[in-house]
Amino acid sequence: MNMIKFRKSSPDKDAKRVLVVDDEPTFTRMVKLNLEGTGNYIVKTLNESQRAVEVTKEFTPDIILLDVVMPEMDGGDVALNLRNRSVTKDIPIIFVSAMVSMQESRKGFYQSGGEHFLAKPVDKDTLCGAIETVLSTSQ
Amino acid sequence: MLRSHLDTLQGGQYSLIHIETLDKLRSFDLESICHAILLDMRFGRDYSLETIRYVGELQVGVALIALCRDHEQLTRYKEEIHMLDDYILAERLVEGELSTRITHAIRRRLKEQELLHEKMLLQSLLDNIPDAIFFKDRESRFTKVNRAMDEIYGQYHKTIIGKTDFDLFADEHARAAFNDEQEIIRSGESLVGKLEKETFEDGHINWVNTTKVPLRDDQGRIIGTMGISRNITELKRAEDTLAQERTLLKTIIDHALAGIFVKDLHGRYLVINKRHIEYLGAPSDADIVGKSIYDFFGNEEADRISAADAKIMETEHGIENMVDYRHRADGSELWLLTSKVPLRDDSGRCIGLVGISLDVSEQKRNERTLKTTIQMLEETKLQLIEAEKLKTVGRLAAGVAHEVKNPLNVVSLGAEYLENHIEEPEEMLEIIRDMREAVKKANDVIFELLDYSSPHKMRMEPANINDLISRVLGLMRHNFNEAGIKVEEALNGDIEPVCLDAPKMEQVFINLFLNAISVMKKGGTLTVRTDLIRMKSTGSNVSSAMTELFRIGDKIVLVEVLDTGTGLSQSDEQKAFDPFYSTKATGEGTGLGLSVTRSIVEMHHSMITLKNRLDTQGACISLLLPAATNRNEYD
Repeated sequence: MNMIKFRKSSPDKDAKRVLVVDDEPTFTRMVKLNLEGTGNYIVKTLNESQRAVEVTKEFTPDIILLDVVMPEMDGGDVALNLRNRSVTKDIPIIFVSAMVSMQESRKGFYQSGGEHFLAKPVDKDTLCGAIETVLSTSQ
Repeated sequence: MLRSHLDTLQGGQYSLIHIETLDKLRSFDLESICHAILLDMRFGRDYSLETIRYVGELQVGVALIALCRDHEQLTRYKEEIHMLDDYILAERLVEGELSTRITHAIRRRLKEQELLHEKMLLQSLLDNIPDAIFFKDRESRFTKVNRAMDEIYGQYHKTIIGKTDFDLFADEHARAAFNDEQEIIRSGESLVGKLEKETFEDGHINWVNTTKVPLRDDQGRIIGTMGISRNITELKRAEDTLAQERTLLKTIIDHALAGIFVKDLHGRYLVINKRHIEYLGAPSDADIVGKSIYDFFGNEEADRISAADAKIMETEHGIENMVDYRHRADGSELWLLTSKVPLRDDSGRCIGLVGISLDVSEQKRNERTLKTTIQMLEETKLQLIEAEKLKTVGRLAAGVAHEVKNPLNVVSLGAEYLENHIEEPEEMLEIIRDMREAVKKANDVIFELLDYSSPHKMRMEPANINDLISRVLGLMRHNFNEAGIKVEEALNGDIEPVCLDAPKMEQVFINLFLNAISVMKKGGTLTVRTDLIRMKSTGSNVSSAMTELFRIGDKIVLVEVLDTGTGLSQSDEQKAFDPFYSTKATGEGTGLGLSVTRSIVEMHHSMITLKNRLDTQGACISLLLPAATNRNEYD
């Protein structure tokens, strides 16, 4: 068996800070791996949604990927809490969910009611594309 | 002197018997002992008178001849002289005269006897016959009537002699009778057996059968009329009652809601009412009496009916409520409920049959509709159960999808990361790529499942299906080119618009074309045809599904999608539209495509069938969509 050769990557100096909130640790880990693998992002993951405000204040992300369906506090409440605080209210949020109708989920990334959505399953390119799109419009 | 005359008789033509007294004369049966009696009036008046009266009143065939002395003596018997057949004046008698006179007297006596007899017969006829006999003069006055007539009409009048019919009857009859009689007098011709209605002044009515003949005198001149009338009032009443019953029966038969008929032993109609004539397919006023079933039906049908009739007449057992089916001339159905019984004459012999037929087509139709409805309900029930199951599956699918999507996404993102960061060995990268591909397929399955179970909301608008097909073919041009498939469009420009939900119908064609591509991996030809057809009949060549969806005369847009693939196996044909049935290799398809397609087609009140092509190898999918112009009738 040959040795596995791994390509290393380190974050750029102007890498964007991304907070990923999802109750599923394996999912957040995979998102972190893929995003940081590009070298363009520094990713912090959070699996306890009720700590979202606290962690956001600490980490000061450029953008938040927020799961909609979570056991402790769902994505809607988390977003409300963030937007009620002056420190966090301007950080853009992309909602990520598996519970969307199929027409929309086919598109992967879409807007609805002024919010941005990503439909699971997502791949790396869709993730990056969505983040870049939202960041470019919010600045 | 007399003695000498008598002697000349003796020994000649006559023999003489001498009777001295009247008593002795009375003791004899005169006709058996003599032909003539010579009465010598010279014995004395009393004796002579008594003898004349005795013999005269006997009225037998024995001539009575008086022998007088002279004229003077004879005149003393003025009152009785008509009873004598002859008299002889003795003093004037010449030789041979006596014999001649006796002979003539006997002859006269016999003649008179005959006349008397005839008169007696005639009188007894007139007196005893119950028919009214009358004689009238030229002015139609009664001159003589018999006893019967006198009794019948005499109760209203003291005597009818000298009266006319105008005195006896109401004017209506009297005038007619008078005219008849005047005509007889004028023409000399008899009037025989005329039915006359005699209305009496008190209003009661007699019906008589009258014969009148001219009455002539001995010169042959018509001096009046005579006639005989028989009272047939009772007979007439019986006849009228019969006629009334016949009319009643005929009215019932003619207006019955059933067909009624009577046939003789040879199957010829003796009686048939209008309704049954209609059942035979003939105009209701046609003359059917004497015709048979062979005049209305083909031999095969007529033989069948005729054999059934023959059996009834042979066994003398009727049939009850036999259901019989016929085609009317206009093609509509005729169901008859027929009963037949043998017809017997007075002696009990079978002489034909009587039948009655009821039109039960309406009931039959209702029965059939009910059956179809029950069947449809059964099918609907099954469909509802099926739909309910799918709904459950759908709800489960949505939940399952959510639960499955997350782990799948973890796998796909993990694999993607590895693929991007592992440089070697290449085998490792291949494994990772396979994993990603497998996860992608799993995702596709989930989407398809969600598609299948999600509620469909339809927005139906009339559209030209040709345009829709061309649009889909354009979208998929790349897919066809890639698979090396040639596309032939045979779209009929004259088809009519169809009410459809465009995105859904597009999905139908996408599914059908994707299927076609999957069965023609090594290339081939895809043909799409459209045409406008009409629902012609509901015969055996038309499926029940089609009969349920379309009515005769409906315009239908037909779309055929033909491929040159491997065709279908028998199980394909039966199950192709079932959910999860697939001929694709595991992993290549979910088997939901055609099932979804059929659901959509059915929502369009249309039908889809799949069968093998007849002209070449491959399958043919037919879509039958109702033209939008039919729609009003359905809604």
